Amino acid sequence: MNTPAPANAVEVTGLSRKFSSKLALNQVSLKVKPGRVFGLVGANGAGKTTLIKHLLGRLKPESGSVRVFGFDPVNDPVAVLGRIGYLSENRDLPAWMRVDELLRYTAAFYPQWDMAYAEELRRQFGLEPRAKIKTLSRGENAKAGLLIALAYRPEMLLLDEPSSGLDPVVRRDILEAIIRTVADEGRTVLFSSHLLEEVDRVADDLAMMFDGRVVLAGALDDVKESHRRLVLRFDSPQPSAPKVAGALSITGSGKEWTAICNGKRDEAVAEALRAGGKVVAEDSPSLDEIFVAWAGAKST
Amino acid sequence: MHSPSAALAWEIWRRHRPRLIAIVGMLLGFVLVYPRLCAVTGFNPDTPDALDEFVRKFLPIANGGPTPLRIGQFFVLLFLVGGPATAMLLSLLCVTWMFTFIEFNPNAKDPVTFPARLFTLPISTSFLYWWLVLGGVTAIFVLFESWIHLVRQPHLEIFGEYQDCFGWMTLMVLAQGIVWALAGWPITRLLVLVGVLFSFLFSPTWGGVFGSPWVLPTLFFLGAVLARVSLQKMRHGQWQGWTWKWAIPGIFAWTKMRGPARFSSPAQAQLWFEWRRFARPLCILVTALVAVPVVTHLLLRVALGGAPLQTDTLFAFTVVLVVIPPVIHFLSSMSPDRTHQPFLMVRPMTDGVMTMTVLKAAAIGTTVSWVAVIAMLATMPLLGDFRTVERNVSVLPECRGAIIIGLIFGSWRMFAVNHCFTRSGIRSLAGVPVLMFLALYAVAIMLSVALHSDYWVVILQRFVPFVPGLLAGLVAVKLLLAYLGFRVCLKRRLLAPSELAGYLAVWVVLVAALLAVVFILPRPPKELILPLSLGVVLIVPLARIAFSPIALAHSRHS
Repeated sequence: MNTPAPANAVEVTGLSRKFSSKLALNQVSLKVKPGRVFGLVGANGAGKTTLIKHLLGRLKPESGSVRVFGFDPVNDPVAVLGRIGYLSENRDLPAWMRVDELLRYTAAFYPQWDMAYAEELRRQFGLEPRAKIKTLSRGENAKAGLLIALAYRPEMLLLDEPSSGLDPVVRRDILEAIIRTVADEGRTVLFSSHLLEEVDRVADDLAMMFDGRVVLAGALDDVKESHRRLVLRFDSPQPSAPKVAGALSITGSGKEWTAICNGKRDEAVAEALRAGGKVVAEDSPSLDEIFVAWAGAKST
Repeated sequence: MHSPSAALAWEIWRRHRPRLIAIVGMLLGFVLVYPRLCAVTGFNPDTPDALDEFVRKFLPIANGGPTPLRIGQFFVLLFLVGGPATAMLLSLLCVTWMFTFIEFNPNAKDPVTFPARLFTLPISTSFLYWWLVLGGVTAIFVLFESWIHLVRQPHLEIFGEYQDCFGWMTLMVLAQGIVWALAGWPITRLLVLVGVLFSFLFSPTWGGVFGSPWVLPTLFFLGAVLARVSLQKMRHGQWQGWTWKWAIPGIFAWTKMRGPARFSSPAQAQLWFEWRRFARPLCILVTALVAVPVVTHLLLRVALGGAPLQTDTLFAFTVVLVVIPPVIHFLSSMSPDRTHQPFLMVRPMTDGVMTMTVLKAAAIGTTVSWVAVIAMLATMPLLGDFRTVERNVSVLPECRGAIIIGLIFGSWRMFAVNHCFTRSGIRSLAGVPVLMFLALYAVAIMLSVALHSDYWVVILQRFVPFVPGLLAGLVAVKLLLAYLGFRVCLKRRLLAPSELAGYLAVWVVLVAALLAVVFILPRPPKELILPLSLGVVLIVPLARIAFSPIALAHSRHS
């Protein structure tokens, strides 16, 4: 009997994890739909890698549940890992292997391994088959890791900081192209990144994490639409940032201040008017500005 | 920290704290406990040659054949005779290693490296050199004098050569020079270091050479110059870029086991991986450790026309060669390669496949290692009168094959049984094998000490009839634990039924083979048949293998 395909590629519910006294994940819930590119963004120590390790079954949930394609990665690691192409943040490939050995070894675990595609990617990445992993640069190491994650056309590509170590050309022309191709083929991509422009260009959905919590999640366009950037002008210079209720952050000096709002635009405008200011410009903030605004809001 | 010197001293303390504490502990133990132990057992370390005392004490024990108690007594005597010198030797070697300043970094190209970060500090090469050399020499001097003057060392001719402080200082400076000069060539460095170390350990056999007043100062000077130059070269990467093709990689090329063009199964690919990851390096290490001293001696004997080794030395040499594989395999089982864990743990394979392939790779590794050892043992007759050694050991010729099988199995077992502890990812569990070893040794010492009291001998004799029952109980516990472990493995799908059936078949074959070895060849007395059979069932690993996949799963999904 065939089990019906799950509605979500990834479904995390109320996931919490503690390392000693530090709460690395705090009641995290998120869903990743199949065929979408999902970007996971957050500051250092936000819990992105911890979340990815739970998806791989490398960490057992202390509370909550994790399902990948409907499977529990701890109880059924083979079923989950056989569907995931994973690129680790640390690029921990065995240093003693040669590139061709790495390909040969990895191929044994995946019946759907596409040798021709692997060879094509190897050429595209400029990796010498006889080169030992330990002699590769950090960028080449990332390429080798990406190669073995891609070559069996996994149902989901899980990339932990994939851009780390890659030069801008490779990042833009190869990585992003691959991610888009994978998604266009109906497969899922989940990647974590510090580079918000990259997430902006590639992702369909995103989740923003701070201190082990998901503070913002949804379709990228919706997230951007839900945030507004207001440029406020006051009659007299303000000695300190004016208090504007509903604004995530407020920056500037003197008479002109910029506020980033999340869904409470009208409340923020009314507050600014009461404080003697007026809105002189309004547009959608960039993802970078949204991230910084949330980071500021969390730190205060 | 107010100065670079203090910072370097702190780093040595911080990096080697457990070892330094162990050295001080050993020293204090031998100062305070050793004389009392000698008094209890009636051993007099001040006799002209403690080896004679050892033989006098041992002969009455040896009469009547080996029993667990007699074996225990033998080990206690061995400890009393060789303990202080061995502990001194180990602690001085440990300090020598500390002052080469190399650190273990499994993620680096060369896992044993001099930390390049020191070269980014605002300290001159000369300062670093003098600090390490003078610090090392001072540490060796202080430690050596402490051992010599504070510990009551049994008089042993064989250790006479080691009781030369300047010899140890020379060894340290030479080690520094070699380690720093060969920083870019790990295999060459290992071979040269092993060669120097064995030359030092067997220096008593070349008394004529090392007795010369010119040899040690010359070696010290050469070592010091090499250390200074190579530290400078290492700082600026001047030698590390050199490369040359030479015979050694070619010799070991066959061991690479490149495998088929495409692996037929994940298990086959994993076996290849484990062979390359740990089994092959272990074989190379064991081969290097046994081949370098043998080849060095052969060269001295054949090429330079040196005198044949004396029977005692040849015997000691043989024992060293035979002890190397089990020790190396035991130590390697204690340090699982954690660096590959993230890479391996995301492969779609069960913990059972991982466990079984590690066991298979270890079995291949121990067999290949023993082939190398046996090849070196075959050259022993070229070094001296090996027939006398064989006669002294009085091993029946038909037992040799059985002994070799037993040694291969023993070396594998050293590795296999620790898997369930060391792969669990739990720090406290990882230390269990060492604790078990120490506990067994302590029990042997206690039993042996008890045998000097008539009161305890009577009690122990009363206990002897219960030994088969006790062993049967242990077998029952082992089988029960194995049943529970395998049941959990199957229930949690950590182990496939076919893998379990495969291991059980191997277990039955191993038990049958060892029983055949025990019963057919040595022909034991009737009263020993039952305890020996139960002992064989006990030593072939089963329960701990059953718990290995569970331990691995714990580490995998922590």
